[in-house]
Amino acid sequence: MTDLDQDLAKRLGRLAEAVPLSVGRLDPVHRTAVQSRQRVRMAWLTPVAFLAAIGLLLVAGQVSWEIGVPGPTDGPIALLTAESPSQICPLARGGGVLSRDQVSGLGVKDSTGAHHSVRWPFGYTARITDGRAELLAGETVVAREGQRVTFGGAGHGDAFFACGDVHLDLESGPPEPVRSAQRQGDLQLTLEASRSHYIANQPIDVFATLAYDGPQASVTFGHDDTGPIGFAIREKVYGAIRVTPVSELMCARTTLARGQPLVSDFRKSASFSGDDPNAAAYEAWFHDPVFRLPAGTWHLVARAKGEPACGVEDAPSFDLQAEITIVVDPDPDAPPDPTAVPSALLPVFGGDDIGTMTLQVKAAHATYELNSPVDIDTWYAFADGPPEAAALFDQEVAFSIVQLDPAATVVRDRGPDPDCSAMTLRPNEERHVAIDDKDVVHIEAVDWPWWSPNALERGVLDLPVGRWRITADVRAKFGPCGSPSETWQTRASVVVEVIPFR
Amino acid sequence: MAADDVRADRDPDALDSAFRAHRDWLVRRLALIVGDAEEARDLAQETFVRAAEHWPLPDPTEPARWLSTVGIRLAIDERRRRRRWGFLGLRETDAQWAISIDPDLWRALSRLDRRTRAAIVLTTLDGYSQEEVAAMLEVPRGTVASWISRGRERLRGDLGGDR
Repeated sequence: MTDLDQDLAKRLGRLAEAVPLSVGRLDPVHRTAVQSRQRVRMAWLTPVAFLAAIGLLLVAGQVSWEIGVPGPTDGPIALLTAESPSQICPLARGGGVLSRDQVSGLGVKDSTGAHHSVRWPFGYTARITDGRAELLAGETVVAREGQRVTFGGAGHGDAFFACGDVHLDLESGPPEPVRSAQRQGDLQLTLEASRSHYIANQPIDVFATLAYDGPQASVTFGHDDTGPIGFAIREKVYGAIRVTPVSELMCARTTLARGQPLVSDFRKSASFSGDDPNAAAYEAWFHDPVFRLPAGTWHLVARAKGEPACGVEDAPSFDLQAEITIVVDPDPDAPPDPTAVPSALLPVFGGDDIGTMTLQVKAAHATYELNSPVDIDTWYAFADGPPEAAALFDQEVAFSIVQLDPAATVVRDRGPDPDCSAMTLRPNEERHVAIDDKDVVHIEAVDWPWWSPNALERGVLDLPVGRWRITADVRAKFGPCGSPSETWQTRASVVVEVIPFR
Repeated sequence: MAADDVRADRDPDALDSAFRAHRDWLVRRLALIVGDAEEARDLAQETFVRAAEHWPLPDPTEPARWLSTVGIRLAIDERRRRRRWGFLGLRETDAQWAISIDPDLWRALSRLDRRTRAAIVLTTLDGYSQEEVAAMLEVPRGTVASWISRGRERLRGDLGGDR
């Protein structure tokens, strides 16, 4: 046995001993799935499942199914973003009707009709869709041209600097439906909600439509037992419930007549840990016949996948996906929901999407108790480009940590690493980077002595009481170091609060 | 027939004994392979449900091997299933237990795919031969040798600074 083997065996053994071993039991949803599978299992299932798997692989080879960031056809607008000159975001709200602006990409018109350019907060982008400008936070459409928005901020010189979050003014007009569609051949999948904004615990009306408009009277295709249309939510509900179809790999078939689309309301299929102390509340949400969501931004996805299977000959192969984003606002008049997960425990995100590159920073919770490690997960991905080395300038990710409240008084500015490092990334491959001392280029804090090498290492932050903004920057380009190709830059931030130990 | 019924029909005492003897060990192995303790617990549960279905096991003298084989195959299949809905990703892993013990090794392992992690854990930690691992994962021995070779090379590079 080599030194590596001996060392590895010892370290693997230590890791294995550290695995938390809570008393295990099947969660209710999982148990139902297992029991259901056992009821229906028959001798022919294995070869059929094998054939279905082969079919899946064949289809996967022909159809690209990736969550895409907006491509060039979405018509990005160069949006002027800037750090607010004030360290504290003023409570006074600015705003107006969103309109195009030659200086900042998007600006606002006030009640007198006067137009104002706006320096938008970092993380916001803009694009034109169907001839109409949209303001986005990450992938979420915050507002469209002609809608009223509000935000904090202040004038500085001849510019208005927005800060904090930009909100759509819900009173500014009738609700607008949100719709997304994808077509392959004669089949089209559409996902639609009647509005983009809902109130927490309000019924959410989302449905998907699968339509055939080809030359035949009808088309029959095979699919697994999740049904011809499956639904998922990117984010975990209450931070714990993963909504995604669970397939038993059983065969089913559907016949779709021309001009008679199949319509399906959003169906919940979910899994969560039965060991979670809130499991009963999660189960209640799961069994609620009405589809509701807590406050937050939600990415809802429908997928329809068909293949020649289950004895259906000449069936079309297709793999369609449609995704919409809705925002659920808190209900200020609602009594406290005893089943609700406190917002402080929900994860917080910050994102930037420049088309070519996506960056996301996530903290597992909005609020941490003192001495609890602040766990930051940062990832980026290239949406397209050649499958070759991307030269990354400076740090792969450069982090800034700024204490917002109380306001920082001490600054440590190390500046970026001048070296250039190279890395190979495939398109849409997420690269997760843990925050590390060597990657932190800028710190602003009230009290300097707290800072020590132990405060930030191994991907975990140990921060004193206060409100903190953690910002990640990625600057990269395709090609080797020193090449003159275009540099892409993204920035995303997340704000967390550290409170005294209770 | 439901899972509980199956257990009741087939010598529940022996199955319970096997569960008590092997469950913690299996969860630990699977957690190293899948990188998530919660998922490892679910997979271990599923493995014992399969064990209940097939009880008594084909080779009652080596339940550990049977459980390892089924658990690891489930772990790899689970990965494939999640890829179908790949955007759901596997970002939400709670790995504090690993980060607090050996963050360098944890990061290095996380850069390997599950099959390679399985092959390395089974050979390095549990002492299975490459032939045995190949039989467990139903791949040629040369494939396992290749996974282990490449995996060790990456681990050596990633852990080099600590050595």
